Amino acid sequence: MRIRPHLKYTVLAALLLNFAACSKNKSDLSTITGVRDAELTDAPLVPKQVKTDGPQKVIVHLEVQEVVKQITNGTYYTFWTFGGNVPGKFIRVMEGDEVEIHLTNPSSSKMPHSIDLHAVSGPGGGAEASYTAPGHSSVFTFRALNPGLYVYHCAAAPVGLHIANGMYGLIYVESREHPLPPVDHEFYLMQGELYTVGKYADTGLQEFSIQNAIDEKPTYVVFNGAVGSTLGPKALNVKTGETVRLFVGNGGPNLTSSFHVIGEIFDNLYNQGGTDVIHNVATTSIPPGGATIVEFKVREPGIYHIVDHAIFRAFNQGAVADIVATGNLDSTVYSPHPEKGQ
Amino acid sequence: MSGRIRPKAVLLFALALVLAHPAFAQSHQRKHPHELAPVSGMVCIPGGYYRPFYIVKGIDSVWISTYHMDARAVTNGEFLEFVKTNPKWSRSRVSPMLAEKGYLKAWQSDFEIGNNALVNAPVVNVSWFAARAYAAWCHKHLPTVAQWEYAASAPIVEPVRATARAKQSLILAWYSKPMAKTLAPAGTVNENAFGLRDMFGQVWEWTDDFSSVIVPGDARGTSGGPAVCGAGAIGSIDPTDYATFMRFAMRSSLKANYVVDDLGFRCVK
Repeated sequence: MRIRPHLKYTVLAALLLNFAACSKNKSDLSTITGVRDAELTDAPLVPKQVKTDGPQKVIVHLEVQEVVKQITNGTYYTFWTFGGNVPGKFIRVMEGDEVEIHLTNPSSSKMPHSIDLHAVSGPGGGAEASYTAPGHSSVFTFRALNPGLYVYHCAAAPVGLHIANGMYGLIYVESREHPLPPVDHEFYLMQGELYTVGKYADTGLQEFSIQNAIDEKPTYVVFNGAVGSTLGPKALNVKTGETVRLFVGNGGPNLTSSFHVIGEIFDNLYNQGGTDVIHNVATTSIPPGGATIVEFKVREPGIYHIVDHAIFRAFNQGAVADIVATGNLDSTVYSPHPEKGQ
Repeated sequence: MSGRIRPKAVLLFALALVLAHPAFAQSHQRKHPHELAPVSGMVCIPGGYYRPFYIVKGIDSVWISTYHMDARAVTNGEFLEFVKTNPKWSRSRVSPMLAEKGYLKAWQSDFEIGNNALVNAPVVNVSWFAARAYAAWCHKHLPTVAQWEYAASAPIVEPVRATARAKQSLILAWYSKPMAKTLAPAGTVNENAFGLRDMFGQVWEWTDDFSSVIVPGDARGTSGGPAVCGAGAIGSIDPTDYATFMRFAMRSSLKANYVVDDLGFRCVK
């Protein structure tokens, strides 16, 4: 059969279209190219950046642990946790990865638990699929479609109680097109409130206060699950001239954080934890269930207090963490002049 | 602790339940069943209206007929008698379809508990199927959710008198503590005005229709059921009653062949 010229072109065009469709598929990240176990870290540590050519299947094992931990000296609370600490394990994946979440609720638990990851596109963020009775486990998978920093939390009823008891953490989905540039330090911080029957710093095992939670009157507002979690010997240590990236989340359950580092300006701020970068911000709002990434260069030696700038929370409820910078003073940037004072 | 039933308290409470209800005008004309004949080890729960925690299709109260309920949770010792008489319910012979791995795991062997401290403690790690078979063997039933919650609604009288809010805090304090290494003997914890003990502060308990309140979808959305949710409070009669939320959440996480370290049961007749 003789092929007419215009038909030839039609076939050629169809082939080209087909080719274009194939390459489009590739950028859709539909093909899984490997399997890896996620590196999981406790705050203030962040897992290393992973760079893979294509999307992988990422296995994440989370175990719920109901544990008694210290809020402040001599003050204890029964925390419910993803992995034994507050906040829960930091999970880091790449855009397009297929994430397989294994949630284990040990037989020593009293309560059923679940996980809702804000990085999930699907009903409940995985909460229904992962609803797990004590002594049981569950598995579900999701595709990390949208790059950004996301909160995850337990969503078993009554959800506010599970969050108030410490069941929250962060998952970062790294953009393939614009992975985060290298910095000297990456840290993980999460703000959260504790509602107790006893007053601030009352000693002994504290009970949860429903009334204070409903009234949104926390006894404690803390970073990383305890007063002083990131102070003194546990402060974040850096050197002058180094760059710092903070992955910050707010577990809530009720209060919006006015996140600020005293004496620093965020050179880059990934607005709301998304991919839009804005510059030169000193204080940013982080809603409960929200997150943000900030980057700055530490120029001067000294202590930098990380606070919720709703400042009574910092001074009276515990919302302070510290960065301690060592190195030389750069007098072109900052100079105290005590001799000129009166 | 006193095992004495306080007839006056029971009567007053029952009266209060009936009087408090808007449907009293109809209910007082309703024919009350006569007090049932006493049953050993059981407490008579006088009939009354129960307001379901989750209101379904506009039914905001249901009539509960008078029934008997075990005064305390079923013990390992009692369950052993059942297993001896019905060896198909022994650990090695039970089908995993009816009771998963871990069934009666604290026992030493099929027909031996092997630990004296456990004999009088509530039996746990029993599936719904096993609990139901035990109840049938005693010519009893598992309580419905409505029967269980109605019986649990009475104030606590021992060791401390606790009504409404105080009772809720007491229950929440238990729920929020890690599980006890060893359970107290059955019948020694928190007696309520009906004379029921162990309803709170010991173990979770199976109910016959535990799966009737279930999570159908994303429970925070409009499709939602109650158990996995913030907006699960919609439809419940008291969104601040966290203790009750937790019981419903626990029930809806279960499957009938599940066994759990602090999940036991009691029967009704």
